[in-house]
Amino acid sequence: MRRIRWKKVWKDLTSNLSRTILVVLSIAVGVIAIGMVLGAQGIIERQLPRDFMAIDPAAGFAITVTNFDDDVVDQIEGLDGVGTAEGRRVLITPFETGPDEFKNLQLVAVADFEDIKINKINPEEGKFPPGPGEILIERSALSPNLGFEGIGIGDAIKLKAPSGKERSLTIVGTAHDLNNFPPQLFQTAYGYVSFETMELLQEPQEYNQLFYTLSDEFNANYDYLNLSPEDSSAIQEEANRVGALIQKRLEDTGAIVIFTLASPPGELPLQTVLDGLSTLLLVMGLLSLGLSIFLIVNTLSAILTQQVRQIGIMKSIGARVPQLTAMYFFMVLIFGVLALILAIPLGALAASGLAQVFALALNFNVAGFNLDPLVIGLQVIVGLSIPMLAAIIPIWRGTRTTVREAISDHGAGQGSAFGTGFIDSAILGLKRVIPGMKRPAQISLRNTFRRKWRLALTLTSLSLASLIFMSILSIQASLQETLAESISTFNFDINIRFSRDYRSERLVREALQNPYVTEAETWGFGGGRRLRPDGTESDNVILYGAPEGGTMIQPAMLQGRWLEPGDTNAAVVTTDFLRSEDDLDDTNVVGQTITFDINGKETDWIVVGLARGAQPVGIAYLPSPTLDRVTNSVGTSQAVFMRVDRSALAPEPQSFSEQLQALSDPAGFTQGLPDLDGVATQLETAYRDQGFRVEETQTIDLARSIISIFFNIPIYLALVMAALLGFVGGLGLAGTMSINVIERLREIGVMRAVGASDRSVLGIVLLEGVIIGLISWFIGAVLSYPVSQWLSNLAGRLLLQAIPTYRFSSFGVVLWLVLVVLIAIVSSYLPARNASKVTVREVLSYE
Amino acid sequence: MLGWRKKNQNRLEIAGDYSQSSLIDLRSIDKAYETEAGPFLALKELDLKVDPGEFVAVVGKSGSGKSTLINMITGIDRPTNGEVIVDGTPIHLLTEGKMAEWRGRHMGIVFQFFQLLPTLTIAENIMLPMDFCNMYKPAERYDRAVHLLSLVEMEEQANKLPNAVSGGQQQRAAIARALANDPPIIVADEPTGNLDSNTADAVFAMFEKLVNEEDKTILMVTHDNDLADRVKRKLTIADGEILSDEILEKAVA
Ligand SMILES: Nc1ncnc2c1ncn2[C@@H]1O[C@H](COP(=O)(O)OP(=O)(O)OP(=O)(O)O)[C@@H](O)[C@H]1O
Ligand SMILES: [Mg+2]
Repeated sequence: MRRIRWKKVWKDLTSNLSRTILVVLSIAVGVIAIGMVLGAQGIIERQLPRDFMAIDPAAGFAITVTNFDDDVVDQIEGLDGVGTAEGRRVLITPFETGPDEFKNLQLVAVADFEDIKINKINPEEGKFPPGPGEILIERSALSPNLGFEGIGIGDAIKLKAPSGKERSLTIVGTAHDLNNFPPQLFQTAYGYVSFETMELLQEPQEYNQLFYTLSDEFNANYDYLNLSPEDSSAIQEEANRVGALIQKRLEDTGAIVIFTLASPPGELPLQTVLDGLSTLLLVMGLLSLGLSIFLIVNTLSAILTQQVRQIGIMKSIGARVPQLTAMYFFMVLIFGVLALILAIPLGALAASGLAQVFALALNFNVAGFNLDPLVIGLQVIVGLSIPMLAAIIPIWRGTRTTVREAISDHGAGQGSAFGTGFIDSAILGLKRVIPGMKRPAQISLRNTFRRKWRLALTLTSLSLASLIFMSILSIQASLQETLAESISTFNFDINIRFSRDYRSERLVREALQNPYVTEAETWGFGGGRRLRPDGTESDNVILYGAPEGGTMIQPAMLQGRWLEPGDTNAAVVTTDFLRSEDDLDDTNVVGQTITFDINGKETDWIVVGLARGAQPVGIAYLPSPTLDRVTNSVGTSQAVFMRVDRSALAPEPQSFSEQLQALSDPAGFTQGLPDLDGVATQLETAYRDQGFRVEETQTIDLARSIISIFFNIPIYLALVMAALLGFVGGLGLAGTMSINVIERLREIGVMRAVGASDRSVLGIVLLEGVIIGLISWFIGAVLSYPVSQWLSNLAGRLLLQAIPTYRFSSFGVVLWLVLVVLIAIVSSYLPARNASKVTVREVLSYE
Repeated sequence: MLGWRKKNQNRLEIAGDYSQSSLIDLRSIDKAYETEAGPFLALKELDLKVDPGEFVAVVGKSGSGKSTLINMITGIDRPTNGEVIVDGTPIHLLTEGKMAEWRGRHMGIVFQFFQLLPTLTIAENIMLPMDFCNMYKPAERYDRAVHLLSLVEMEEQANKLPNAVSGGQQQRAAIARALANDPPIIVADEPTGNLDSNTADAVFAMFEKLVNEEDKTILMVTHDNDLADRVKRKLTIADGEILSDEILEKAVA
């Protein structure tokens, strides 16, 4: 560097490393956030859609109760608009996970693994395809939490077929089924077998699931990865039309169809979850960026203030404003470049980490670490331009100081008068209000308000951090409350669904045979579609027939009332149902008459209430007698709900010592009593032994954990974000405090000269940091009340498609109070220690 | 060495003929400061001419207006009324930017405190004015800085940082820096105020050498009467006016 002025800039940066690091970190925070969020999105988008298209996803599917054969599939393939059709058999069977312990496995039988035309299943590890007596397990299902504890490829698992027959299958490998719901998210294990294996389980060689694609005109002419909205809706319409045709044809052949569903074209499985998370991440990324801008403005203006005297000297030896301006912009440029050097790799690393987390949870593949030129480009633009923009005003003000001002004001700090203005008088007045206040505390308090502009900036960024931190905890509390509400909907302990109707009394009688079951209720269960006023049909809606006085399902009511005895055509719908219905929302749905197509019968229902939902599909609760009449199933049902005497079950380990006991001596701890899963297995076995065809058994614990998963991802993300904000806020405070200390070195020296001890200097600076922290806490707490409500609604809409019940987290307010004091102490400690190390001699020779 | 100065003068030519004036020519300067009690006149209709090669000491009580006067000449501050013509240029008419550049080339300034940029070495501090005013080829600048340092007997310290040398040495380095662009005029506001009498003597001797050997014109504010008595011309300021303007014959010896 031949030009001395550039050298000066560079040396200023290297001689004040901690300050440089501070600024670089401030910039890097925002740039890393951008890299992480956009990078992760990029990583996911680069591979997932292509992988998804590569499995040849279905345009839609149908699920039937009865079975159909290849002839029917051929007929459907011949229908106008159908491209290909393929049948599968799906069966839920318990498999033994330990002595007398079972978990459910969803078996999928495929006719020809080598020639799957729709929703391809890809081999992962081991043998493919599975032979007779062999099974492949979905790759992300082969884990202890889904029952495969200590079980792997090569091991055998024992299945209980619906016929009651037990049969061992050998796990020969794993497969990846991108189309299915992610096993981990939905706590369902999938296994893939051939039809020969189905035969071994004494299951019919017929299908109960049908996938279809559209004819070439709709398949070949579209680039599914880049569909325009018009194309997308054209395809969707066609898929709906074809779906209806297929349903009709299936019903014509005598099949009972549970529902047909057209998949939104070009949309990935769980796209809404993915979208919601991305939006949330983006919002958080932008917030970090915003905070980082505050930090940058704050530190840069402080640096320029510090440089005022040097600017004066340089002007006196001939420096012109454009030259000085260029120098300081050069400095900012270096800050930006350093931040980029740090932030680009870290952002990319964080992006691949985040993408991996998503990939694991949602069971798809992502490429690893990757540098995306677009993301980097954006990072470079942001990382360089934002500091430059932030520097404009500080540089403009700093370089315009005249030599006289710079020389006469003996450096920064002296000019910061205290004693005038409203705030200052108020603080001076405090002395009278709090007579016992010590002098050092007064110094801290007055110092806090000396640089009002800087204080304002620090407070803004720290208050923003406080605000968001507390808001996030309120969002979390709201989500948790909403989760609790959703869970409290279910008052049963065990639910068993059957693949056909049985007489209700028999079901209940059988349930009560079990010594642990205290109550049993049957609920009607079916599917229907809403016929909208505009003539279109909704997706399938799950219909529950509530028995009079039934208590097993009691949803949290948001509007209107629950079903009452004597209701005939009344309906309670869930918020999930509203999601797809544009003409209905939470303000107008109660009182509306809606029409359901139930098994081909059109019936009108008056909505009397809106209930909280947290399910992927909409639910309508209808009075059981009326629903039974519509479905011709009076006196019979498909689902039984049971409550058990939990106190009679094996105790749950509560304390740590109990957990140890339970681990070391399970039999002794449980005293031979079954747990809830055990009772469920007993019940299921009993039903099967009596010849009932059990479709699925669910315990409330499982239902709860599935619902929680939907909530937990955003809750965890929110907490991570809160931690990040705490860090950024601390960074800002550390910056302000160290600048304050540098500025006041002279007066600190003077204080020492008149006898201030190390401890009192340390204390004065620490207390100033804490005062700033407390003010920001107060501002943040006050603002967080309205803001968190707004954000919680936003998060709810994005992630749950419903407004959550709002809970203000006073815990969050208290937690942040503690944290902010800690952060203030930690971030002021270094500057304070520096201050306490100042010697009188150093101060006099300073600069 | 005088060539560039002519050229530069043309560039900064401003309407009106000021070429006939002395090197420094203050014409009935008023300087008023706004205070809470109303305007305060720090300089009152002050006239002053300084010719090339003069060494002028400015003395007076604290608050008499010495710094204010110096600031008029360096262009650091502007008069409320009157004209300031330096080396043929009416500097009170220059814009801030022109002023900075003009000052860099025509005037070396030495302050009492804080002079050197703390992160640059002594030599680099001296190269800085050349850089800002684009004087001398970049490759020559370091040698020139060392040469100037040798004039103030500081060449040994060329590559040290300012806070690694003593106050007197810093002051001498500042004087070397004032010479960086070979300005005809050097203005110093209490350059020895911070120094012990031996060092102050040495610094003062250097100023004398600059006047005698390099043909510089120097204005120096000082509180040290002994020093003031050693110069050719002693200007005493009181209450914003020139109380006396003495030519001290004995100093010529
Ligand atoms: N910015 C200002 N605002 C108001 N009054 C000022 C200002 N600067 C200087 N003065 C006043 O102008 C007068 C002259 O000040 P100046 O600094 O020129 O004195 P000085 O002779 O240099 O004193 P010292 O020897 O103490 O440096 C003083 O009375 C001072 O109070
Ligand atoms: Mg003065």
